[in-house]
Amino acid sequence: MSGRYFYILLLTLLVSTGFVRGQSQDSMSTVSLNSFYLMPVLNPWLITDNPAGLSQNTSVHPGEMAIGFVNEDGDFKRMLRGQNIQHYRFETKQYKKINKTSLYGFFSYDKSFEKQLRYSEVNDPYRGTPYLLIDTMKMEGNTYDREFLNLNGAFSTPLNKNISWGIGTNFRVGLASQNRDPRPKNKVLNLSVTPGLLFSGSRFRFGLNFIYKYYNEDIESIIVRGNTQMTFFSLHGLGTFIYHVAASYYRLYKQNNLGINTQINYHSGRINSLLGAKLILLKETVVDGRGEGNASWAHIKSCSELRSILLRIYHTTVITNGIFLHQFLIDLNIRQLIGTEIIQRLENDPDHNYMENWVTYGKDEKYGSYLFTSNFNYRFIRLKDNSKPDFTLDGGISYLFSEQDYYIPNQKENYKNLVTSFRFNKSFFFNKSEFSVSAVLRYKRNLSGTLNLEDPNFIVSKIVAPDYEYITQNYTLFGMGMSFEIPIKKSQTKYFINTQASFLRAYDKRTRTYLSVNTGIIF
Amino acid sequence: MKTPDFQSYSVNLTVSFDPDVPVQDRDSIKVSFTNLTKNYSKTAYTDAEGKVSFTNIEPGFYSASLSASFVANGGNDYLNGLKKVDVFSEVNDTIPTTLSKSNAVIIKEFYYSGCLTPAGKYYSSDQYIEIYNNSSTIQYIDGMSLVEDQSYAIAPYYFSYIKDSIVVRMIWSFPGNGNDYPILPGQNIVIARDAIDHKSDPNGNPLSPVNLSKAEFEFYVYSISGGDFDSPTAVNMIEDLFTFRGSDVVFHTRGGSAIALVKIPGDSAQRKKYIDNHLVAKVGSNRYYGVIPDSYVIDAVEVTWDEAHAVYKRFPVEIDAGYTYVSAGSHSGKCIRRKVKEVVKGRFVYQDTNNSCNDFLKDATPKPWINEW
Repeated sequence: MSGRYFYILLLTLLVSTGFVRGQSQDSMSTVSLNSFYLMPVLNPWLITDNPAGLSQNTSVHPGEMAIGFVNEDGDFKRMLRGQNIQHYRFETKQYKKINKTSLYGFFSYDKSFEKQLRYSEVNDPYRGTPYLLIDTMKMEGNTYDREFLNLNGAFSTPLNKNISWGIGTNFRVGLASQNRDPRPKNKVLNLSVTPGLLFSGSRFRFGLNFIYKYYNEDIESIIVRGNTQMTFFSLHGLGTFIYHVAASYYRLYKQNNLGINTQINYHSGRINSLLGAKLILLKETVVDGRGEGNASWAHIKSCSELRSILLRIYHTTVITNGIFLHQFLIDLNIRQLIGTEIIQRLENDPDHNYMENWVTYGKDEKYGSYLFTSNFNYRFIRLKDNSKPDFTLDGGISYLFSEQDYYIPNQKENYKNLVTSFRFNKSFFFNKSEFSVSAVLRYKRNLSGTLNLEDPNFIVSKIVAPDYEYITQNYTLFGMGMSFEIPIKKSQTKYFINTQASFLRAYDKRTRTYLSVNTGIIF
Repeated sequence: MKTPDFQSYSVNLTVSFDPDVPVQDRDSIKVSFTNLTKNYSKTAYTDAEGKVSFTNIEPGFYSASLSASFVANGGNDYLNGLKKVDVFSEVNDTIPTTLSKSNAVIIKEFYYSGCLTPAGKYYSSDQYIEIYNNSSTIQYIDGMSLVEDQSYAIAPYYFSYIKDSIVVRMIWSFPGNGNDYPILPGQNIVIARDAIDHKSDPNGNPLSPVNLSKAEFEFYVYSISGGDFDSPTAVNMIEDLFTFRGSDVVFHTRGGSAIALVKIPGDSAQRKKYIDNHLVAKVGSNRYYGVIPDSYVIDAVEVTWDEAHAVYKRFPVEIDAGYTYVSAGSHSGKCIRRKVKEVVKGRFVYQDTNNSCNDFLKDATPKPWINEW
């Protein structure tokens, strides 16, 4: 049995299990797919990551269990991404209230195949670090095969009449591997813990939560073909690099985040307004040649360090007018990165019994990055009942300013982009069945940008310059979606099928299409 | 936005000239300053006092190199200089130089990368070295030897404590008693690993770029099992030292075989005695390597894996001030070939500045016995 059929069978079994579980639910309110969309409007605390905010949930507690398929295809892509990406996914999530404790749980299993990609040996080359590991070997049909599990849970419970506390955790673990030499195998771990408090007054509520996140990516890249060495490029940002010729390569990313998030919430009969500010400090180290016995070219080599500060300020106001809801959302993010290179040389080190070892000569801050994003959204909702909308309309505008600098040789890149988007969703109700249609329109315009490089090497021409072309390219995206929900007899559970398709066309005529289909139950 | 707190320094170098270098030739000599980790270079030119400066240099490990030629005593003299420089503060240093004349017999072509068979398998039996008489007079190669350095330059040099000598893993000598193997001016001599037509021989590879059936000499490794092919037409080289003796002479297809043409004084018996009396071993190993003084070296080519591994360069600047390699990589079917300097009355004169960075083409198609621009 091929792996793909095995996963389909596995997911079918899991859904069957969930179906039975869903039938046994005894909920008095019916929910729909759109109820999840409604949740952060009914409870603005859900846009924060303060788990104590779960206590402010209304009586709507939707749950879902589904399998899905996502296909992304086209030549409008970043250089380290694949031409085609397919996801096979199982996920289940639910809001719940037991006695006075509010809960949220989420679990997903994602199997994906990223096809026809080049260069990248890291699981996610665009997660924000300039310190990437690549190779330049080309093979048709090269695929990144990934398998990820994600477990997310949070609860909130009152300490007394005015104070609630909660803890949220997220655990994501996965394995990614490629099918050609050199063959990177990436073991990825994401872990976060967020304890939070919420103080309630008559009109005002105050929230405070702390954030700890840990990221670990362990890359073991081997060459199966015998007696063969290949070149591994260790990128330092904007096309600068060093390289090693080796029969295998090991790299370890370790990232620690510490943060604090505060919120203030005003609510009256019709107005519910929340303002929050979050500050996160990050430090990531990159180490190469982890296993001394296996690293043929070196022992442990410290490559670089990355420090970051992230400030997020966000605000939302929801105005309720009978069955009409208006939500205004502002989200501002400022992120700065400073990258430090560690200068080392392989020497017969007297501190290590004259064995060959990387000796550190110094550290030098070489890379700086500044990213500012701002999002302004307006959302209009007409309710069918208190748990689901029958019409929604979204309009938003996003502004992004990015600047990257590498010093000596001097490499600079900056750009400003503006993205406007509109989305509507209309639901039609037939007895207890529901049919929804949606459409989305997005337009991206580049306002300005420069790429000024003192060292135009081949990494620049193959990766940095095409990526800059991608990022500053104007495009239009149009998408449509449909979903159908049918109640299952003698229960509040509904079976649903949902499909979304969108087509993106850039101004240089490159395209990318997105198709997703998922089906399951809502309870 | 906070700017990274990066460092940069100035590097001031002075070229140390041999007194024989004419004063008027000391100005405007090009000096390359190469970051050995990141593989980029900056260039500057000396002033009349031989001083040269580089500014805005990031911290790291560098090499400063220069190569120049000038006319002296009716012939060409070559000036080469190489200095490793660590930049972690302002630097004031000196580049030592050596003077040399071009050699009569030179290594013209070295094909080590091998190729692939139609089935995609590796093939390297077609490796060869080509030597050439670059002078206008007859030369004799009797008793000369081809040697390969013991290191592939992938780590710091183990025998760095042995001064003014190279340490080799192979010594293969030309037979003859002094006048048996002449090379005419402009004549090529090919020393093949296996002297067969690699394109058509049943044991060859139709995708090989060379026909070596007319090779003058061959590396033949005798064994009872007869593992190596012995050509009936090519003269066998004499095996004087073969530290890692296998079924055949094999050069690293990835690169890293630094080779030299040397002449150990005396006849073959004296040569063997010399070799036996000048062996060294690594601590804890019973493998022995030969020690050849720099003064015995006629010509040498420092072949590295790639640019990054030039940091582990083995040959001293007096022998080869530079290095070269096939950048197309292993099994690319490409070789390194010396550049043509000029053609004098139909005789090709190849460039021999004693600096392989300048003297060799990197990804040439192997063309034994052929002289062309």
